[in-house]
Amino acid sequence: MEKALRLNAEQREDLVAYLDGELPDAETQHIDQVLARSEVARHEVEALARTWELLDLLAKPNARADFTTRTLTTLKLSEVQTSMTEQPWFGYVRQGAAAVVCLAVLALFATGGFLITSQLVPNPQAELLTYLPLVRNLDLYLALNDFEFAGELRRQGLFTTAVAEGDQQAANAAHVAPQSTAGVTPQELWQRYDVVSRSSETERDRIRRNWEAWNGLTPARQAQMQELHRQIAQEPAEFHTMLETYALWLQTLTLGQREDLRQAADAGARVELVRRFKSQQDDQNEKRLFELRIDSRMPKLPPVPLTSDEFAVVMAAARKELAAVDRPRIEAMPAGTEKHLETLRILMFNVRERKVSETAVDNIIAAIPNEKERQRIERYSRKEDRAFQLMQLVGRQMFEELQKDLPSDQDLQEFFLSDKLSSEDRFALMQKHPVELKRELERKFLEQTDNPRMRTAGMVRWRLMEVIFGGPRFPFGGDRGPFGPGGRGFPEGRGPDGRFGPGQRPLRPGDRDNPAAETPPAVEQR
Amino acid sequence: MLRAKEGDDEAFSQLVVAYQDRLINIFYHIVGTQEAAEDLAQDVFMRIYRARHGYVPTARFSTWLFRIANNLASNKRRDAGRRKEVALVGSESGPLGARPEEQLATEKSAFMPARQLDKQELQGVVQKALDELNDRQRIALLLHKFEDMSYQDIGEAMELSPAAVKSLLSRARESLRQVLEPYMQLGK
Repeated sequence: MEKALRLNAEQREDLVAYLDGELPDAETQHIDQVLARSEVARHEVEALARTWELLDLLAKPNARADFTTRTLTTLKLSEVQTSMTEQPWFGYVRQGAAAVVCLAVLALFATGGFLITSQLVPNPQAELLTYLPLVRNLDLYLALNDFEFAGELRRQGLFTTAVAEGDQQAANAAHVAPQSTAGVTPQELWQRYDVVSRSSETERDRIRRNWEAWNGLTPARQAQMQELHRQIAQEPAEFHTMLETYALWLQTLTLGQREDLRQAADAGARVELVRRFKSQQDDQNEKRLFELRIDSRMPKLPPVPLTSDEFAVVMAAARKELAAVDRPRIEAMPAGTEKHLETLRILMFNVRERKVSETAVDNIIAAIPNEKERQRIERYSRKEDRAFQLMQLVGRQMFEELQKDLPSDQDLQEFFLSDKLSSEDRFALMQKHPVELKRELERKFLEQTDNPRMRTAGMVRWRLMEVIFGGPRFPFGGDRGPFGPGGRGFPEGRGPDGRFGPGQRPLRPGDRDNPAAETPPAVEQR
Repeated sequence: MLRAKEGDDEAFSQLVVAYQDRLINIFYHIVGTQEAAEDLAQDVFMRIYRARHGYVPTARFSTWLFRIANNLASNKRRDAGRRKEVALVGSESGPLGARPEEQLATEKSAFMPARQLDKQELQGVVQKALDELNDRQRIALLLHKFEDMSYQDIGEAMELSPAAVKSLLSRARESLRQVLEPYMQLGK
């Protein structure tokens, strides 16, 4: 037996647990073995057990008799007294209430501060918003100067647009009359602020300039503008629409024109200036529109290959090929387009009727001074093809010669803008295709012109059309002629491939069924 | 407790009656006076009463009750410690406190093993030995001794592991043994 066996700290811990029955079986057995071997250990266990028993000597006080009653009464009372204040949620409520109070105090100070500063410190923004309805229109009001002029504009109807009744009613319903500048509530100020903040940068700049202008006005002038604003505000919607149109129109004027308007002596003089400026603008606008239509949509033709002199040489050669019966008559005619036309008429008829000899055709071709053009035509091997090319050249040259005597685009433009045409005529002309517009305008021009050269050119061209196409209109019913400017669509009687359909060939001079056909004299056969 | 949770005040009063003596007994050995022990016991019942509607029976009721008791006792000692730290004038202890020589003589003589002690004196010695323990050791020892709680239950009440409770109780018992061994024959 190991009497003096000492226990380590772990074993001492286990001894207590051993005594308390809290030790697992394995450790319990181990302690049993230790106790069996060690007297010291047994002594310690015994000491611990006896010490534990000594604790039984400790006082064991019980509750006093009234403890239960006191406790239960206290519990009841505390529940009644603290039902609200000591509930768990009451703390949160109290914190929330404190936060609300803090916020309320903060808001109170903020509001107070705002009111104090807004009342005592001048706020230019608020002042601007107060006068905003007036300031937004100040440039217009300054241009109008007085209500009398605005009324005169309405009487004259210079800026009144024709509106359908339904549209006018809708406009009246949607119209917002200029607002008052007096007695503005804070809510209205906020609305005005919102309107300004949502407007464009340009509009804000305009408001800013107007505001500076307003501040630069004398008190008397400010009062005058306020009175004008008040009077205009009482007018119906169409009056405001007219003024808005006038304001927009003012922007189109030059600085000088606007200055003229500003310095006009009275309302009547200003209305006259307005009328004059507007008329000038209308003329310029129509001219611009006319130029745009003529320039942009008229087809451009390639230049003719021969000069006037070269053309005269060709026509002289053609006259030499005429039959002896016609030649003296034609040679006796004065030089000019009529002489050319008569030569062309007889020549063309004979080409079509194949009555012209190959020699005659080649002689005329050989007389073409422009070598390049001459060689181009000579390259055609068949006589008919060369004759057709020759006629095409002569026809185009003829038109070109006539065009020199006909009114130019500039003449037509001036005529278009002149008082010789009514506005209805102008409107009707502008609805036409540019080719038709030019032709119709040319016809009207020639009707009224006293220039004999122009009148003759017009007449000759008319007859040239008859010679070429057998009538005043182009032969295929469309706008496009063989030498004239091109037009839209397919010629009448032709399909999309440009060929004639069966039985659709147009009548020509000399056709049996053509009542207008004229049989010119034959070209001399050699 | 489940009946009390449903608002049965009679059931709660039965709980008070069942546990009041056990609580007061424990608290008495912690705070040292009947009044303070009763006050603490009342606080425990107060807390349980307020929390009764949220009670969830996840552990034994007694374990929950003694956990509250342990927390209250800890708070009480902490408060007492703070008050002692700021107190300028001592009452029964400290260099400024007047301590009658007779009282000192009695205390000294009580620790003389050769002297024959009566039961009341021995009770005082045991109480003194108990007071020598630190708070956690004392509470663990009281719960084990008077409530016959297992290491597991003590651990739950004191929020300790069973191994920690085992260690705590071992040191407490060893301390007691060392102090009380000379008086063991008297306690028999």
